[in-house]
Amino acid sequence: MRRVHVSLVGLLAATIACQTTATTPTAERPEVFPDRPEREADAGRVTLKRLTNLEYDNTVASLLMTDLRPATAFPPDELAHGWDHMADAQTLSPLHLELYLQAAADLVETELASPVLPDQTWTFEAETDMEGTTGAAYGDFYNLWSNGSLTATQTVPHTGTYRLTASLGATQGGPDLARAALLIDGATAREVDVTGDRVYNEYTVEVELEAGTHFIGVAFLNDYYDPGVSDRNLLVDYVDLVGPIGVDGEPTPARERYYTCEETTDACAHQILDGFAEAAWRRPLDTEGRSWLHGLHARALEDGASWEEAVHAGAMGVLVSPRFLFRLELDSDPTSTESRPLDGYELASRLSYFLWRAAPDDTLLGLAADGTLGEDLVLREQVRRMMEDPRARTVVTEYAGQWLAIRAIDDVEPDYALFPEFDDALREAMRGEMEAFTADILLEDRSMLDLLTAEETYVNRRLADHYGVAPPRGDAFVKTTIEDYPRVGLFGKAGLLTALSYPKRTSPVKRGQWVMASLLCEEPPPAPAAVEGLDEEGTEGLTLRERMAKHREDPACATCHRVMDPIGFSMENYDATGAWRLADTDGHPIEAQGTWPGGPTFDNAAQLATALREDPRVAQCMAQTTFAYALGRPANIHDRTYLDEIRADFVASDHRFLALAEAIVLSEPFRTRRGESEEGQ
Amino acid sequence: MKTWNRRHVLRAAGASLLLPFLPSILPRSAWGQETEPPVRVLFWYIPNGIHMADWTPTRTGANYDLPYILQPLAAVQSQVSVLTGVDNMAGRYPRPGDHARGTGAFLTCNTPEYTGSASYSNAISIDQVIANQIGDATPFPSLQLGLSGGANSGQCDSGYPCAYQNSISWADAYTPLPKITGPRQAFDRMFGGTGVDDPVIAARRRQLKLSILDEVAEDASSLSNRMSASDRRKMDQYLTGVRAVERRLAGLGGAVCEPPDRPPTRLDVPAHSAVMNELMAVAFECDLTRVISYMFANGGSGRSHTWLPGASGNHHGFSHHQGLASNHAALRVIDRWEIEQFSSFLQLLDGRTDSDGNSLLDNSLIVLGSEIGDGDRHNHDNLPVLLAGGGRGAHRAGRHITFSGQKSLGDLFISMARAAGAELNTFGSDGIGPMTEIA
Repeated sequence: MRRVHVSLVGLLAATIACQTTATTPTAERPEVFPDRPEREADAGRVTLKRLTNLEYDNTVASLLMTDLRPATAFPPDELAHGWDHMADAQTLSPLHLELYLQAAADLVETELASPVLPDQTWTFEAETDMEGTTGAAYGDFYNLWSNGSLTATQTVPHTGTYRLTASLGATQGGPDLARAALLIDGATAREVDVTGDRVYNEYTVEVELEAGTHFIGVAFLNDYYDPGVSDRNLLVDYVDLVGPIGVDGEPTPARERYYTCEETTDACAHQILDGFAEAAWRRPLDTEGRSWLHGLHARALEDGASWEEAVHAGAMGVLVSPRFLFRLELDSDPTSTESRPLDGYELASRLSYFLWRAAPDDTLLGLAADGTLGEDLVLREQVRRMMEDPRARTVVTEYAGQWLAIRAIDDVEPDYALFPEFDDALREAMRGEMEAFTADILLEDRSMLDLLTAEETYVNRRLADHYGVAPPRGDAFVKTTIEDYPRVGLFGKAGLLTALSYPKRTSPVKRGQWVMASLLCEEPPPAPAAVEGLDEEGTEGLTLRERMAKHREDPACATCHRVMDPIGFSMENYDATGAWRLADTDGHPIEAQGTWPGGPTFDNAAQLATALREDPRVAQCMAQTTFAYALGRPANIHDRTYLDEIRADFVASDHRFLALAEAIVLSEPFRTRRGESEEGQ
Repeated sequence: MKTWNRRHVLRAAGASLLLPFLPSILPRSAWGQETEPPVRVLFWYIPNGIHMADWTPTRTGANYDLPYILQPLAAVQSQVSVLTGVDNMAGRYPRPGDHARGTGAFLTCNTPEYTGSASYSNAISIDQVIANQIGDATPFPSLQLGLSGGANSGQCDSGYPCAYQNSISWADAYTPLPKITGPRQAFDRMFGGTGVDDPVIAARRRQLKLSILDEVAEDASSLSNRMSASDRRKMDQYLTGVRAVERRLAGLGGAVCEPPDRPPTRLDVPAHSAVMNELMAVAFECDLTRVISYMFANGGSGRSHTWLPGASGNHHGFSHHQGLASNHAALRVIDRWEIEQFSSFLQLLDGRTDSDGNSLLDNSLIVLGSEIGDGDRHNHDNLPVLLAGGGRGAHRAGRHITFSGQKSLGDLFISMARAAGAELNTFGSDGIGPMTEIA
């Protein structure tokens, strides 16, 4: 382990942090580093990660080119520290396994299905389903008592070989056996002598049919009648049509990709499974993995599986294997606490699941194969390339989606009586604005500080109406600047403001706490149980500000609330659905000005945003937050030296996400791993 | 999209649920070779405590009075006891987060730890203690069901990981068991067959799945040799899961039970609740399982009861009532509705006859409880607790039973476990022996 003495310089800026209370020991608090002078740097380790539900769906989508989203049925991912992919919070239950097995079966049966079309059978009962030119139905058969035909029509979906079968009997008479024709579209496909007397036998002919509608049937060819002596008739029991026989349909894309040979041999089965496993497991197949896979295939054959079934069993095994469900990073010495560089494939997966939440693509795997992925220049180049890829959209939906509470918009339920205008169209519009706004900054490589102060935003007609500005033409979101009143940056976004409100009213505490936790990484300690949730329903007659003043009467509360509450008050001009207002629900005029103890004064949310833009803790917090997202574990005291370096690069780049992602990817915690001592350190 | 209301679903479900009760297709304990019907246990969690002023009966013993919130129990009162003075002190700790801790402790009677990182430390829950001992007798050793999956983003109570609030069933200290909340998903899991009609092919598919599981387990074991302790713990969860699915697959086949109609994917809360009640009743009736845990909502739930007059708004918010009459009024409405749903379920069990001629309710033990008592005080003593069903003699039902001094919920769980056929002497941090007062 590299041992580095770390100074506190970068963190002493945190002067406005609220003090912890006696009941909340500092050591128990996440994300806040105790003010101790020196700590050893340790690149640390990340616990084995299971694919999250999104990662599972994305991974099978690229692996099998499928539209199935099996993870929709999986238990939701466990949330911890505001993220859904923290390695230590992930668990695996029997229910998970059951659903993984089901998903594997569904995926394999759908996407690796044999292209041989299943044949179909259509049966026509002569006495009910067919039409005769002569004769009559009797009980369960049809009697063609003079020369004529009995036919039916059937549409066949595919061109190919079909088998026409007629079950025929006869009452014999005269010198010859009864003679019948099997008919296709009026023409004779085969003539037969019907043997036996009042006994049914099947007569068959194979025919080539085009896809489409066809007449099928039988004809009686040699009627004989000697009154009082003998009477030759053709008796028809049923006619059936089976097919197409042995016709190949379009193979699925996955079938085409992995079924690289056609012989139904073990060698071909192995070839298919090896290729599939390598793609699914995101690294070359090692000897152990290969022999395991071939062993499973052999066992399936022993269980009586057909060639197809045995390959499918192997493919299912690949998909429920820990090598697929987990992002394995194996150690030759699991108890060693010496960091080791990740191998190329481990690094490729860390990169792709960080920026795409999806499996590494061929480019990353190629660089892993030739051993160059670990080079600084190559890593930087790959981060840049990956950010250009459409898959980087997850930086908006997952990273910003969770960090900036965009996903929380899905869960808000403003009170219908108070906010009847809130509906799902507005909910969608709120989320759409947040996503377009953050995409514009994160994916277009603008300063992330613009999240606070950018004047341009995106509105569609529904949101323009909510904001009280002129509606755009058309239904799409358009970029616009609202000039009539202050509405800039995150603090002007209806989605965030609604997510940080109660159903019936705003919550300055929630809003203030969110800013502290998510933008300053200074999570206030939770309120004592007795006052938690105090502000849901108000005390009659007092303004919200007066009610909140109670927070600061108690010294234990005051340390936090005097920082939190002014932040929240600055956003009071936006109601519980983010609409602009000048008075609160009780008619009291909004007073949005505030000040921090020893800090800046601000008159409204826009000025607060400008003040925060100058605050070095914001960049520090962005670095720390993104680091946790990239690694799947919260940052801790041992990461400080790395975070200092990451932050320095980030600041030097004028706060670009791309530079931040590069700095994290190049940092030791991202590129190395180590084992764990027996004591669990 | 077609919208389903409660009436639709009940009508749909009713068609097959109201089949004549034929003993020949309902021996129900057909999985094992028992001649006597089993005792089923169900653990029903409700969030945010109860407005106790309208809950606690004034009279004790039999024929107790039904305060406003308990009035929906009238139809089954003789089958329900109200337990007053029961504690689960494991939920208490000098740190905020009573909803997370209390919910995590609800069935473990153990204080869930605040780990500071993102991992867990709780303990095995009572339903799993029971399932581990009697679960082999049924296709599902236990079922975890719920009405709400929880938020898809954000943080949970006071920095605790969300699993403490979203799972009451724990396989061990590190493994919260997720619950199924979707009505269709619950149905499919309970009644979904192999999708293959041909018994020969179905049997071969099952055998192939067993072989696959057996092989992946072997590979996982060998992989874990190259893993450190924390990673191995996850691999152990994987292996436990594999073995559980193997047991289930091996036990499949021979299930004869008429399922209700397949419900839709999504329903509004009242219709959803009705469907889950039906499914749980059928699960017991068909002996699919004998152990169920049911989360009527997640810990500290903020569900807005928009369909109840006067109860629209955040439930957790109302529960911090500050002594205000307006909040009490909303809580009365919400709490009473919760008991209505519970009572509906009990009536479903009461209307079904078990193989010994008694009702399924007679032969079950159903407990209802919450993570705290009062929403403002966040207290873990004097919790709202209902115990329903006779448990084949384990519970003399229909009484208001009061306890003075400390009486642990863990003691009740020991009694329930024993009635269900599990051996248990102590449980959690303060369960020291069976709760003799219920017998």
